[in-house]
Amino acid sequence: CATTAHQVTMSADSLARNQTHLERNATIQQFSLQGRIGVQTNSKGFSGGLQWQHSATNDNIALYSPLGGQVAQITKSSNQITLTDANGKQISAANAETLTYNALGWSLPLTGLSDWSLGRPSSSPVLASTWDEQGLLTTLNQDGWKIEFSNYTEQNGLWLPGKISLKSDQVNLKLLVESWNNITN
Amino acid sequence: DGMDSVRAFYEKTQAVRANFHQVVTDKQGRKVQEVQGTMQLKRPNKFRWDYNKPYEQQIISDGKQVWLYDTELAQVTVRDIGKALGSSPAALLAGGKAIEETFTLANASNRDGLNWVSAQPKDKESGFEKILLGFKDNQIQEMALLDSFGHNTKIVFSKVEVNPALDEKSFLFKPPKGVDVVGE
Repeated sequence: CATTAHQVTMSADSLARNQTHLERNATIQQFSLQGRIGVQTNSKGFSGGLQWQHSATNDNIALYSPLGGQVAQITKSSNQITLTDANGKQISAANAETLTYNALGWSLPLTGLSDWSLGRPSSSPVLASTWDEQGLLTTLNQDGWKIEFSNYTEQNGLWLPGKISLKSDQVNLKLLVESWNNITN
Repeated sequence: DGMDSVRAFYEKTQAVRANFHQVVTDKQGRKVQEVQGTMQLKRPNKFRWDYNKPYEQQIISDGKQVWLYDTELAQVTVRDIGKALGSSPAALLAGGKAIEETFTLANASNRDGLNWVSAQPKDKESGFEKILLGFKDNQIQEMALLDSFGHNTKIVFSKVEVNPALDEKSFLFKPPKGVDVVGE
């Protein structure tokens, strides 16, 4: 599925495959992934390791500096989200976007990412989307983000993206997934 | 003992080249990261760590700024060496003589046939609780770091070359075309 977005010819049967693929991925309730994240926001940025355990009710994200040490821990429960930095300082906020903006200077669209990292749209309206012959999403325009998916791999019957690039008018995010584990639906 | 080794290391060894194998484990001992590559350092404060496996990354310090290039992310992050990286393991190893200004050094127990020194970062913002350096015949063989989340980074060096002739250009970084460069 190495076609680039604009060459995609979305034939009728690829539409059907897209729908089956999305229906199957929609069943995923829990996952954990290990990878790397790159962030750029008006000439400021961060890149490093990422470990993320996601379930319907809570999220646990660890951010690592490239030299191995952990730099931040983000824990989200149903009504609150807290970031602990490397010096043990804790900051809480109502949502991940404000929390990460205040603590790290860039906003992490955590809710959306918990769907986008699985190669599926989030529940809000989809402005536009394209997919490849296999029906796997290649681009998605949603919640003010232009998202590109690539490097799909099969994980026990489900096709999941290995690289997700997200652009909003303030932030440029790249997520590389090195490994998926305990995906449950 | 450890203190003699660390002093000899900073006084007699002006440059090092070695392979490294780095493993990070969390509090429960689960492996969080494992990378291998080559490293070079030249006092004071010039160093280059090339991660080769499982992903490509370069961390290069020209003594003033540290460049961090993740090839697959196509991103370069640049920081002043004084900032958080100032008291990081790479900067610790490549530090100039005044190492005891940034770290409190003390003998630590000997194990695995190495004599160990603990290096406590004086800068509270370093993010590392404890750093241990393991020497054999005054040559660095191992490093162990505990970060404030309880993760342990263990770096084992091999093929350690002492005072090799190093190409100055390896400590200079030129961002490849089409790659974004961002500040910290």
